[in-house]
Amino acid sequence: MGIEFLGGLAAAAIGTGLSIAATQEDASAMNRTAQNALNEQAALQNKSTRVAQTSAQQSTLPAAQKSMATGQQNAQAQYAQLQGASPASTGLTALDPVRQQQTSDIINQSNAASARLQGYNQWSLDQALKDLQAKEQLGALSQQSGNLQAALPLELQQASHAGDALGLAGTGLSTLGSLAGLYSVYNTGRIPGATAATVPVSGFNFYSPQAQMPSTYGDIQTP
Amino acid sequence: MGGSNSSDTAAQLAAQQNQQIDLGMQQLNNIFSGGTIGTGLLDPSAGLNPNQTYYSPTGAPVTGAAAQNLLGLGDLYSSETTTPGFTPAFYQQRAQDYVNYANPQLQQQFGQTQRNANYQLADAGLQNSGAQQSMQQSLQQALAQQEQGIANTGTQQAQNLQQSVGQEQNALTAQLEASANPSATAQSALNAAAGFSAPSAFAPVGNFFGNWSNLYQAQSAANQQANLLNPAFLQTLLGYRGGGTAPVPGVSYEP
Repeated sequence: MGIEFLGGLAAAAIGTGLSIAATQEDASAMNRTAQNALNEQAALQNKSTRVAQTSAQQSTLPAAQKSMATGQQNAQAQYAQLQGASPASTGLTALDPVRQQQTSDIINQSNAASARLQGYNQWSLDQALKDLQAKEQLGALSQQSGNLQAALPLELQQASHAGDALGLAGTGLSTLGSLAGLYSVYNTGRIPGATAATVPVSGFNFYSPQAQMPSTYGDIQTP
Repeated sequence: MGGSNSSDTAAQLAAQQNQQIDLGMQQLNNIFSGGTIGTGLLDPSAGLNPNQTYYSPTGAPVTGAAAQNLLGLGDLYSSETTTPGFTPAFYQQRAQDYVNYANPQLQQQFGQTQRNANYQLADAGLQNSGAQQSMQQSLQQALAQQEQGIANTGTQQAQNLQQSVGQEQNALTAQLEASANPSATAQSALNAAAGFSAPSAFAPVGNFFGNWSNLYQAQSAANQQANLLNPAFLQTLLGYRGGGTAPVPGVSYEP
């Protein structure tokens, strides 16, 4: 065994090691890319959850009661403003106190009932607007998630080539080792005094390429 | 290794698109809820004047390297504008506008209706009577009801507008998501906001007291008919005290 053979063996071993390392680097890079993508998606998911939670919190009974109370108060204030400042009502013939009280009671009851209905309208509007807003925000987050997701296969493809440099070096070294091995075998045949490698099979001699071939038919020995 | 550039580009593009969506959402919020945005988008190939102030998409003043960076991204503006936004005060004013439009007509119609009713009562010799009190009471209730209706209509119109604005913002958000082009979306939003802010013509209010007049007239007619059939009324009207048949054709009277 020559130095070439040992060198070739070492080179091939290092080359194989580098190839394994390259494969590991590829896997590691792909894992990192996938993990980053998962983290980004998780961040978007958290944002979406907050949007949904905020929206849900505005759909509770207390929130509805608050909306309805606001709508009711606004309507009552508008009625009071209009009816109190009505120029025509000041020109009305004065009613007797009993009729005036009856009239005021009827108007107040009507105002209260109508204002209550306005409160329901306000609640309905608040809910519709709240839902639209949540839909907008969730839509944007969904789109952003989709954009990142669309880029992921290409990012993974890139990550799968992260160990290419190592792999190339490994392949190079392996090839070098193989060549060195071949050279070693070839060179061994050339060493003076070295015997030809023969393997007797079924009465025939097989000669290594480096072994000296019989020069004439006369050299062939019959069994 | 051949995929590196394409994947880098894809990842950068995705990140850039997402930034543009965030930016566009901010601009839409500033336009619809009130705030400042940049206007007059500059072409990325345009040169910058180092002494000039430029503006970011959200209307923040930028100069120097920051301006150059935004210009490269296609997000640099030459000026800024502040939008008041669709605040509760805006919608309240919208409701008040309808009240201001309809209420004077209501008051005018009320005065006319009241005069007509008073003339009828005067013709019947019923001024300062219980019938006039009853008419006034009824008319006062009708007026209050119509005032209530005007307030409700104004509120309803403001709420409809609020819903339209919300739907428009929603549509523009969808447009932004599809295009990832905040400047185009912001321009559309500005146009839409200007359209919503502009005063619109109100529908004619019609006859507020038509129903009341019809009912009052019908009730008056019914009362007159009933009075004609009322022996006590006839007795009073004709000063008739005796028995027998009342001197009104077709009306029998039993004392």
